[in-house]
Amino acid sequence: MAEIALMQIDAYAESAGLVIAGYYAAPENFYDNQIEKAPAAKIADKIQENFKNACFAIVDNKLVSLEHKRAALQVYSYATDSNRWSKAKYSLVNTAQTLEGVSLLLKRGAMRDVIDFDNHLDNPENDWTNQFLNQSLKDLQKLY
Amino acid sequence: MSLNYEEMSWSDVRDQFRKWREESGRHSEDVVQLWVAVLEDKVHKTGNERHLILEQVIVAALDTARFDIATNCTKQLSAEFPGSLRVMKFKAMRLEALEQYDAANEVLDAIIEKDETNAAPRKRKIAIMKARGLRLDAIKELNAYLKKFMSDQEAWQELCNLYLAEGEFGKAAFCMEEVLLHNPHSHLIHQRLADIRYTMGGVENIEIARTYYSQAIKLNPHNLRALYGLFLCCSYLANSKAVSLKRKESQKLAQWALEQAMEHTARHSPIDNNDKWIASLDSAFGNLEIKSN
Repeated sequence: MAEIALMQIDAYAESAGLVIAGYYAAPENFYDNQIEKAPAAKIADKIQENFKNACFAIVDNKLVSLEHKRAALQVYSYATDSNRWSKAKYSLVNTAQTLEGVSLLLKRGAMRDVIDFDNHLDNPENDWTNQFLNQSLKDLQKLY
Repeated sequence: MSLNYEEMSWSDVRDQFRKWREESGRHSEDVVQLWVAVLEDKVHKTGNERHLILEQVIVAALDTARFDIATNCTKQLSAEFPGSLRVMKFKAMRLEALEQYDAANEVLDAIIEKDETNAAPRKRKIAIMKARGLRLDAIKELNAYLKKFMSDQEAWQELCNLYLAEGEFGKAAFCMEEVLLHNPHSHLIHQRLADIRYTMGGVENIEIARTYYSQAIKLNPHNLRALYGLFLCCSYLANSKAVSLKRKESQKLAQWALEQAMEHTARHSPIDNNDKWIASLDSAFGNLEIKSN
């Protein structure tokens, strides 16, 4: 199903002038935050083949909170010379507002409305393009 | 799922809880919120269901780290059934939720000692191993458990998931076959088995996968995953080194599957041009017929 998903998303992205820029994984076990244990790392490899600058983000479960002080993400970039993912520095745009926004959305349960391709396969009425998320963080917060 | 707490009466909440119990749905956050808002004060009115509701609330409270609620409900059960092994299990679950795994294991061992035929504490021990990240130990224990409790479907399902996480697809397929034996008419199990076989790869496995996907579609023509799966299998077989007749057959079947998938999606999907994205699959997988024999 991953092939089906990636192909369709790719076709959609191309038509919208977008590109699949990366992949994020969230480990099931609270304490797993290493890249070796990340689920489906092969998908990240595939995505990188199509987009050289792809990033691989792993959710750091321990940092997820209702009052974010730091982004709960570990981001990796691909080093072509060593053929592996290595930790990358990243910065947030508008750090304070972003962290506050994310914390608020978490508090209000916004994550329950995000739909992935898997949800779409369960019921085709589910929109995996999540159009409602295509607004500024400020406007999103008003929704909730 | 948006539940309107203000408008729900205690009997509505009780019915909702019963529905979730019957469907084996967890809904922990909703259960806790509804409990606190509506049912807690009125639970004595629920008669025979009271104990089932208390158990449901305990599990939901442990899921959402509301240890106060969990302890409170456990005390109520404990007062009515002193020395009950069933209630003791909840005490172990509370320790497990607090990550005091050694203490939890002691309680569970005590329950197992008192009653060898009790399946629940054995499974909780396996759950603790899983939580600690000791997946291989969990697999070993679960195998030992299944030698004694062979008809526990839930356990076979769990073992299948553990093997999948370890990449042992052959063993996972075997477990899923056990689940299928108990549910021969379930389109979901046929499809999941097909998924595992497809992942294993190779012409033989993919032919098996194709059979299972077909059966899934026969049982439920709307199973999108089965339709896509059938498309993938047939495309692979159409491009493999099989006899030309079989390849043509697979090609036709692949076309049919993709059309079915397109039809089911287009009818319901709110996404613009969804059929275009699905059609792109055709060009990616389907049209590689030109091969020199």
